[in-house]
Amino acid sequence: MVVSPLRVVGPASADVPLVASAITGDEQAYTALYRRHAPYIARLIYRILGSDSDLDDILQETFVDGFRQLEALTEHHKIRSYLVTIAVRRIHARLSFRYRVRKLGQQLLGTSPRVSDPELRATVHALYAALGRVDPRHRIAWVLHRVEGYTLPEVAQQTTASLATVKRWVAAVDQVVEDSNATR
Amino acid sequence: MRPDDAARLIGEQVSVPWDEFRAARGQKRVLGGLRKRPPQPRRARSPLVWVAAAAVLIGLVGLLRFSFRPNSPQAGLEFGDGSSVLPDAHTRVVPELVAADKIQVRQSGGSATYEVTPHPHRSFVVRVKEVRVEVIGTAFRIDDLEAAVRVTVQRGRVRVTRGARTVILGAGESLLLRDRDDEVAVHAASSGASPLASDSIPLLDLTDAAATEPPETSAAELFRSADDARAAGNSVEALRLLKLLVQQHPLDRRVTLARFTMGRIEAQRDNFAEAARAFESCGNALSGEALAEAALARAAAGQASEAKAHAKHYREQFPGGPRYRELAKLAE
Repeated sequence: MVVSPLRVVGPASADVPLVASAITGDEQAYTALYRRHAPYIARLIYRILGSDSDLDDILQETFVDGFRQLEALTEHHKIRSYLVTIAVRRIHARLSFRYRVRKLGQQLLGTSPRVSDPELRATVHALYAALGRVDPRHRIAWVLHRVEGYTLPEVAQQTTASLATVKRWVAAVDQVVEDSNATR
Repeated sequence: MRPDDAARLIGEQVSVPWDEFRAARGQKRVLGGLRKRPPQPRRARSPLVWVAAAAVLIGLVGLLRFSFRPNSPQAGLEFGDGSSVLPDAHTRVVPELVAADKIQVRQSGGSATYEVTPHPHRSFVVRVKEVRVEVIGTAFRIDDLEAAVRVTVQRGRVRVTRGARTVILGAGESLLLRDRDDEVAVHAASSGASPLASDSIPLLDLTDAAATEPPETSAAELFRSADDARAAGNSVEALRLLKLLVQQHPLDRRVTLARFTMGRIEAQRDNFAEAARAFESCGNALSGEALAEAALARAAAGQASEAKAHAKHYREQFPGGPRYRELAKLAE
């Protein structure tokens, strides 16, 4: 039984009582919130990383950290955005590690995302190879803005950077993508 | 390649390998992580640390052996209309009737999560022990516990029935039905008394509530007892216990939720003015949800000017809130 990550899981207002219950330590509420948001957060992590290897760890860390600090969330219906911000911090930590490792051995950086159309596999892999060469923060900002459709101010909030900085990061990755040998 | 094309390509082609197995495994990891104590600052290791590490290692070996037992859990069920059931390990969910106008399953032992596709001409019923949960379109979970059944609604609404008693649960609400209450329910039904007759008893005020409950009762216990009372169809008792919680534990983190639940119960009893007062006592809490409910309750009570004031206040305070559109007409 495969669940589409794109499944609509109900309005954000349904999160409000769940968050209130989760703050009291209710495990059922934790489960419900996880079920509602994990597919989306998993997809986001996967698209930024371009690989499956750290997905489960980052997903777990995101939800555990998020649930432990739920009392700090003042607007309960914004829990998805709150989880995205935590996931971004975790992804950045992993990518930074990979970025440093790359200098020691290129083979450790290999990314191979699952691609729906086999004919486009080489193109997508070339694209991720290009993304693998840019600074992790730039890559995160680019995927959030260009692929996931977050506005630049939202990306600035999620990456705790200024709007001008985020614009610069996205433009830098745009240039790398244009210069890459990935062709459709 | 143009950046827009590259982004579209990733959006269309890169899909996370996500399925129920992975979701369930992740859920287990998250709950396990939450049960552990948060990480503490590192200190110098004492010999006891090595002893503990050895104990953990032995435990892990035992756990691995336990995990690889040959009994595999039941796989999920998926029905033709898209509704699905995901039982936990050691839980049996058996379809009793699958027809165009009705799906009925029986759950025994453990827990299961249900995702029911809305369908106006098909009812979806889950039977657990003597409890019957009827759904129109929603997601919920049922835990068949050792001496109780718990129903937790994630989205939508369900009608929970045991004997002649019925409770309607909304999103985020949970109900614990203890097995020992069965005798009471059967007795009430056989004696000819209406199981819901107690709903017509006037509310006790807070002074009476305090006089009948020992002050040392914890907030958690009061909340649980209120839940039980709701499950037994005794909304008066549930309200009394929730009021007691508010009075005896004014600084407890459950107080706002207790006030909100009081509002829900009063609204279910058609006491809309009382419901509004309970919601209003929550202020702007729960991201304005209480304020929105207060507006609707005032409107239902025929108090248009108060309803309008609340609706306007919500829309000013929460311009991006999920109830913003719903309250537009009331605010006019």
